[in-house]
This record gives sequence, C-alpha cells and structure tokens, in this order.
Amino acid sequence: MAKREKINTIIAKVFINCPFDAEYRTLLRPLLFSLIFLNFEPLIASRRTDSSEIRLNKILDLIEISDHSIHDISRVIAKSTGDSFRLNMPFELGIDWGYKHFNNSKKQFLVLGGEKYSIGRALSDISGCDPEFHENDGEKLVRIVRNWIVNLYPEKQFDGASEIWDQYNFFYTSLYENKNYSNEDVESMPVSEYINNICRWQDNHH
Amino acid sequence: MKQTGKIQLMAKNDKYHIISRNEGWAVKREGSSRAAGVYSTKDAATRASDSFRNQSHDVVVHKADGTISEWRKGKK
Repeated sequence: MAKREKINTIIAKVFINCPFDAEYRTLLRPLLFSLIFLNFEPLIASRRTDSSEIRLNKILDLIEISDHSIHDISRVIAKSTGDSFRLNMPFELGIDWGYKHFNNSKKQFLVLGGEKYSIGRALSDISGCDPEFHENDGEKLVRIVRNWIVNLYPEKQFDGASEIWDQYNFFYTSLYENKNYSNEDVESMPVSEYINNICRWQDNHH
Repeated sequence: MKQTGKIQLMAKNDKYHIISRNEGWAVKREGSSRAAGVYSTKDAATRASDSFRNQSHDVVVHKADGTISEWRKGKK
C-alpha cells in the first residue's frame, strides 16, 4: 500500500450528494470507504441526525465547509414507466454550482451518472462538465473516485483502485465478524455508524 | 527462511477472499499485497481456493458488489 505521510491526516472534506435508498447502498458503501481509506472526510447530510434541523440548512452548511463535492445524479432518470425520477440531487448540484460561482471558489466537482450518456438529455445544462459513469458498479465507482482524487492531488501518492476495492471487501467482511452485529444489523447499518466502523478499521489496520 | 511459531500461527488463521475484479475473480489472502491468482470465472477461483481451505484457512466468497455470498470454513 502507498506510504502515508501521517495516519488519518485528513487531506480535504468532500460533500457527497447522492441517493440514500437501499438500492444505492451497494454504491454508497464503497464510495464512503474509498474516501476515508484515502484520508478524505466525507460530508453527508444523513450523518447529521438532528431531526429538528431543516434538511436544506444541513446541506447548505456541508456545501460551505467542503473542499470538493461528489454529485451522483444517476437517479435523475426514471427506471420504468410510472417510476418517479429524483430531483433532490440535481437541485443540490445546482446550489453547489451557484455557491462555487458566486464565491469564486476553487472547489472541484465529480459528477456521476449511471449508464453512459444517460444524464445529458435530462440535464443538458451540465453538458461540458464531463460526468463519469459508474454503470451501477461499485468497483468502477471506486476507480472513478480514486482517479479523480489522483488528478486533484498529483503530488500525493495513493493506492491503486484494485487495492482499495480489495480492502473494501476485507473491511466489509470484518463487519460480519463483529459479534455485536447480526447480518441484518450490517445490512441496514446507519451511515454514521458505518463511517465510524470504517474509521476504527482504518485505525487498526494502518 | 525459518519462521517463528507466532508467524506460522498468524498465517494459519488468515482468511482468503474471492473478489470480483474487472479482469475476473481474484483469490487474495487478507493482508497480502498481491492476489494469489486471478481467474476468469468465480467457479474457477472457488476451485483454486480449495487448496487454502485444505490448509485450514477460511475462504470468504464475495458477490460482485463486495458483499458476501458464502463463507467457506477451513477444513480442520
């Protein structure tokens, strides 16, 4: 594995704008793992559990304090007739875009779609920003995120995508070995607890 | 090189994982930096991992999304 300058030194904070449904969990989990494994701090609205806090205010806070953003707008396309498409993610992308523009911010975005060229017709204003397409594949998503980070920080050394993916598989297995968790606990684990588990695993392994 | 008893004990308990990769299915020991082998199918990787099970290592078979499809206990 790549030699780290200092264990758990956070390089930057990354706002994550993505769906939170059960189906997306197979992508969200490797996404969160990759960021933490590479010493980035994911900022995600569902981690803040104060239900009295207005959701949009949480998001505005996260946009303001983050150095970079990952916007997954793959669910902007309805899957089948009668399915509703999801507008929260493009809405939050728009807010972040506006924040960047009006504050002359150097914040970098990674915009993600599902199937290739799927989002251009639904969100044509985004053309020219080169979204990446994960094709709903966790390993591909890890590779996209890792390569994006490498381009942002060319002076730093990061593990390869295959190594990160393998480590994710090892980490995920460790959750099932934890005697405090049933299989159901692992599969429906809240985001905040999942993130804490990655941090603990990272501390024990490096 | 002669190994100490402690190292041998740790190696004996190590798990092997069968992990989906772009290029196929890797068999990799937890803690190792390189895969023991990469196979074109999951079945071939599972068959190849039998030699590690015979040496008492557990083999964790993953689905393509990284979750676990089967935990094959090492043979005593």
